[in-house]
Amino acid sequence: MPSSTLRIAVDTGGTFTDIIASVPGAARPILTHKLLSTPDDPSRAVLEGIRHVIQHLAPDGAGPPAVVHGSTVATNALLEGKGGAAALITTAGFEDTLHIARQNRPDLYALHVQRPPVPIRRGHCLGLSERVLYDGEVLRPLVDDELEALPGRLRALGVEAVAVSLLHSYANPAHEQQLGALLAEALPDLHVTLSHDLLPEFREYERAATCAVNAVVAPRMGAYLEQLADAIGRDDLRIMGSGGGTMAVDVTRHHPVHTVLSGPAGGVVGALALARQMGFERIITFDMGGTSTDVALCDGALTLTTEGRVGPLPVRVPMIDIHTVGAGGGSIARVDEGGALRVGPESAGAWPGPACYGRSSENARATVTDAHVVLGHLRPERFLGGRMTLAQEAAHRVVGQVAEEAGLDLLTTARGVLQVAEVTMVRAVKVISVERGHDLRDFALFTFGGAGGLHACRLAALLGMDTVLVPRHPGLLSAVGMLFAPCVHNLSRSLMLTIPAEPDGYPAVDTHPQLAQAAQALEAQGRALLDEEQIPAERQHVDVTVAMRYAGQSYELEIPLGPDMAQRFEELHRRLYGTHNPGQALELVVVRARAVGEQLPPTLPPLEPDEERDLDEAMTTIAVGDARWGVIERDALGPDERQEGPLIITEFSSTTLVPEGWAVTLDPHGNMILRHGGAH
Amino acid sequence: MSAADPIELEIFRHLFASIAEEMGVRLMRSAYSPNIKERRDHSCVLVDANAEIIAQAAHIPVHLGSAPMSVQAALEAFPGDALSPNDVIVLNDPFAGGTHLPDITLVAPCFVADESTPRFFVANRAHHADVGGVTAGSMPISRSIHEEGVRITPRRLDEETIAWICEQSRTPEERRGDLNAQLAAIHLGVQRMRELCERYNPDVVSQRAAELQGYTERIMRHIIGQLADGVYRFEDVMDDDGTGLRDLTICCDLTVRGDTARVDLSRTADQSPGPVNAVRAIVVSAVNYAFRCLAPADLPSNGGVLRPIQVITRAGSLIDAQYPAAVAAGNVETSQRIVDVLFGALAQAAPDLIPAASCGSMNNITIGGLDSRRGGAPYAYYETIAGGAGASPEGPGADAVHTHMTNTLNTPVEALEHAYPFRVEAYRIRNSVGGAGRFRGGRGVERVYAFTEAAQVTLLTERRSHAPYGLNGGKDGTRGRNTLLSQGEERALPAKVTLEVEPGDTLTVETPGGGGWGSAPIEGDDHP
Repeated sequence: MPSSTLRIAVDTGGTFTDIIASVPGAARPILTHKLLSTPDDPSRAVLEGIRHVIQHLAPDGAGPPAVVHGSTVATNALLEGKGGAAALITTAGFEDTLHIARQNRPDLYALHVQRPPVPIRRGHCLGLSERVLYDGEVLRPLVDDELEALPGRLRALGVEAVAVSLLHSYANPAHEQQLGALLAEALPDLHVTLSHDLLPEFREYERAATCAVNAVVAPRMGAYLEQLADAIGRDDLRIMGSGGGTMAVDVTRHHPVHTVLSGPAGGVVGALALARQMGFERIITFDMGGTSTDVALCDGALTLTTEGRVGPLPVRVPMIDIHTVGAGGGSIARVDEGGALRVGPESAGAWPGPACYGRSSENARATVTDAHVVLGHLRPERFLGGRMTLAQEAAHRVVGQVAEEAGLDLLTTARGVLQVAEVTMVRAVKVISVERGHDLRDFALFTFGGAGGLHACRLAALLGMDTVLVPRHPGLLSAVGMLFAPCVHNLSRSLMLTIPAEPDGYPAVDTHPQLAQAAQALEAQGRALLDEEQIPAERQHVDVTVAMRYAGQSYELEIPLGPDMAQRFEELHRRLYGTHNPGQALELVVVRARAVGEQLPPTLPPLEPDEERDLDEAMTTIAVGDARWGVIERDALGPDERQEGPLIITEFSSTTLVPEGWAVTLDPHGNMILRHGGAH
Repeated sequence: MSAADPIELEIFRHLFASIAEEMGVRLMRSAYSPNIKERRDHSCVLVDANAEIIAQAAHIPVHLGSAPMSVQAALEAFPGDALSPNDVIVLNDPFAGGTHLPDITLVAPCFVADESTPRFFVANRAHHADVGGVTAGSMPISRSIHEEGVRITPRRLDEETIAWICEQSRTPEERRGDLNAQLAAIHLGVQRMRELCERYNPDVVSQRAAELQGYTERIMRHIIGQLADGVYRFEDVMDDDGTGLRDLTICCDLTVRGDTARVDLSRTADQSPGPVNAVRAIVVSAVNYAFRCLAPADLPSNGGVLRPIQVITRAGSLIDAQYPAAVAAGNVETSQRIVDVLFGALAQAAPDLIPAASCGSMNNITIGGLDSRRGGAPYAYYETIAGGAGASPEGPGADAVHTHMTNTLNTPVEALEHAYPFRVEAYRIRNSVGGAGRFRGGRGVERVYAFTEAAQVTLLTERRSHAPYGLNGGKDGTRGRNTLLSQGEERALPAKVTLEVEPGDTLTVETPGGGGWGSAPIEGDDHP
């Protein structure tokens, strides 16, 4: 077996580490494995899992596998405040950029104003007397005395990483470059983030914050990556980036901020790849977990944003536009002082979890999952493949308490809990679709994660969608996505060009020499980076977009490089905002390039029909109130078969509801396609 | 009306809120004025046929309570049967539904099915960068409304009106873009409300709206009921009115009885010659804000908030100014002092809850001139600068943050220097020592502007002579300071001033810090 054919994707989540391995052409082309995560040292579970699949797939000592890893180390370091000690270097007078932020408060009505924590403490923010102007002109050069003293000051602070973000460095990076060279020489072990290198774009707070996040997560991420690279081999390990592509170890060490959405990005990449195989280009991904729900829109391609956040901090590198709301299976239901039934954002979390897990005490509170148990949607005996039995009476007790407070009967209350949870999710989907000018009727809802299948059809109906897709391994989708993910480099360059409208009404954007020059330079840089990674030219492409706006606006729209950019900008502006302003000058703010090296897609095995199975035997029915459901194990469904709702389909890590009026079919790979109105 | 269904109540809370928010996003994304797009000085509301708010997306509290008055003014000018489905009413007249002239409000009726009168109204308000008047940015130290810019009494927004409004502005294209953005958001709101009525039937939607208002009212009554009954008096002063009149007193007599409150501000000083007058709408917003702060963070902000509260003002006073009073700064400065006196009174009713005074000023700066980099094109820059938050029983006050009636973002220095012909030389947290106490007040900001071309600067600031108060033994916060450095000479500037600056001049605005809370300082409770 040639060494390059074994590919392994490893996704480390809070509870489980998911592994999926692919050997194209082998008798068993896909192997999946799930083991408990080891939060104290995530690499333990990662390496153990890799060893396990190698033993099962390549026992004859084949060459090293190519590993793609989705890691939450960076995000966790940040959210748990366990990042490294870092410093920030700014232009003198702007040392407090991170602490002033945008000067607003997060909660309009808080009597006690609290601002989100800043990842670099104030005493670690150092100003240097230098000044570059908006057009790149140097008003004041760096001062020798300050440069000489800088390494000593940083050493005295005991920092492991430093972010350098000087005013207008995107227009002229000379001062940052000078500092980079100085620090590399004087403090070779220090991790240095230069803002023009990571994010050469205007808006000093957002740029500095992105660099600060990078610096803070770098020490821990670096150590973690070294540990894995030692065990796996530096060239055989790639890390899943938030933008939907994988990155080499050294690139990730340098700019770990690109991995803050590593796992969720894998899920969206996997969803789009599988949806395409099923014949769908436009999907809304719907990943409902215990405490939150992630949704993303793919309109034939991933939707990227440069307005992302991690917790309270802006992280302005391109990442998949994943919108998260605080409603999940563990969200707690209650009746508030005003008499409204509320669900979330409080959550029972993974531990003790919903009351039906039977792990909590007397004062357990009702969750969305408990409501499903009351309604019979979750089969107590089949939860996690029967490994865990759900405590039905506990679920009835806690939902019953809510019913009493609400003055409603038990089943109405349970249904109400689901309705309220779903209205939050409907809002989340609308934010990324309808509010951005998309018609949901053109999209299929692609659901994964533990709880998604319980809500998908109901949610689709509320949104006017008639198709729901459920992949074969809904609990492993992030890892599946990592097998498909291409190598990606994100590059950008600030332009700040104002182009007046020509007599025909449109500014001459397409032919602007500075744009063409910047685009070419970025494309060449992108190809060089892909060449370095030995991606053959036929699998390389560089997608260039231009962030533009009407001169005077503040939010840019991303327009792919090509003919008629000004016209396409106006069309998009009209679609998104319902208005446009013909004849106005356009401002080209940033040109961005996404250099992509495509992977050869893994071969997914067909679903083998089980000749022995007896559908009638596999199907049971239950009745709750006036609702009757058929219940069947997913494995009992064969390819190209059609089953009509109402039906509950159970499998190891999730349950799918097929309500009345919906029907399910399986594609040749075992992915489920659910249609409303009997459409086949 | 039957009792509200707990499930439907919650579902409609989300449905209404998402419409208002979607309107807000559309407005912000497509607007031109930095005040709207960068600083989010705008709001969108859904209003019922009685001009009571159903839901709103407001980023700054000063817009909160005043939307109903805009709708009322529009309805007075155009009674229900005079309106037709495609009408949009525009206004900014502080004496007819507005607050100050830069805030332009659009109100549109939402007709449902084939009904002959509007069932709902949709409105939005946005702070335009320049609406004419004697200084660029339309925030002058004025002596009457006529110096402050174009005054729009409620009228239909047609092409002619748009052209007329734009003509009055120093930056007409920007006005047109902003009005288009506001219109787009209005159309979206009307469309979404109609869709909601198609899906649920108009009577159900109206009933749910009423139930939500009732829900908020119940919670507010519960909260007021927990305050100790009594009469609480508090007063504080404005530094000056910008024309030489100093120490303008604002008085609050708060009566709490059961689950109702009566806020009487009628002992406040008379209307002044300068621009610090506020119209009654601003008082209503401030009362709405102060009481809303006592409620849970996610309480739906609708007409129910104010139902248990009676607001009394005296026509002709500083805070219920009558035509033709100058009002440019009432919205931004006087509004903050009204909140200070409301909280000063509330602190007596709920001493373990209420924070010391915050910065107490929006620290307004307007810079206008001709940009030589753009062939002498006129420009108008407006910004508010944050200060320190008051310490509270829960802990120290936050540094460098907008408090109370505003929450606008700063303009990024890099964006500002691209757009305007001056520089920011420093933007940092002040090293001030005020606001000591068991918990320390937050520190203000120092922002330094360096001019490379001649320009006209207007400062509308407060708390330069009277410091933000400490509470429960906490010390007063540090006062603010405005300083001009010109040809080597440093000059202290008044709190409110218009001046011509020359190339090479430097202007430093230092904003006030918050008051301290509690008398026993804790050892080592220093700022990090």
